[in-house]
Amino acid sequence: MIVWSKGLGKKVLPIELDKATVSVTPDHLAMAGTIESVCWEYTLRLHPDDLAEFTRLLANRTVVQFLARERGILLPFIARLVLFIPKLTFAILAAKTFGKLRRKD
Amino acid sequence: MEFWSEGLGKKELVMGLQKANVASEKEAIILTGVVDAPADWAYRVTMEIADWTVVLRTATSPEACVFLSQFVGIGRILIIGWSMVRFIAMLAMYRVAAERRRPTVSVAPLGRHGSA
Repeated sequence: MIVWSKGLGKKVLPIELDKATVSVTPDHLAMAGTIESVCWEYTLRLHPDDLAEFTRLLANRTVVQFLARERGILLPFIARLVLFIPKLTFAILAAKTFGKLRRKD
Repeated sequence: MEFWSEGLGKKELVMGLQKANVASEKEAIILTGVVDAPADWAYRVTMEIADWTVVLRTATSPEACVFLSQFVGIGRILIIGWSMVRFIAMLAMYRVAAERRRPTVSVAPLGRHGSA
């Protein structure tokens, strides 16, 4: 991923997302790492609204048509989702149930 | 979405993804727009296939599971889920169309001396 902004002047930042570490805070999901070419650290923070917007971006026709050119994206993603959804469902139920019990205490 | 890098000093870029313009180039998707903060700066994010693969992997990571289950409301999870369903349906449709358009190679039968 290459990021440029006017605030960076002429510099572009090539970010290797696959090397980023992902962490969780109550406020956001963070992806952080180092930009190797300039040895600068970076952080990308995604709030719940941003996650919703990013998934809406995924479903953008231009993005889907671009991804559809490649094999090896759809089926692996569906396989990961099949494993992810039950985990997420259980985690939500656990958070709502144990969270409520903890609040009662 | 907030992006910070050492090159920005103490500033960080606040990018509203809902306002991003999406364009496709040969090897990448280009997101462009103007940041919400700290100033009206233009931005450009170039994302190749490998980046999108990482995004999809991160979306189904254990960290995403923890974040969604503990800190995101059910309503927003359903919105995210619906976008995922749309994404999968559209991608499947376009993949099938792409496979149908792929030229099939027909092999002519070989003649007596091995020539076509």
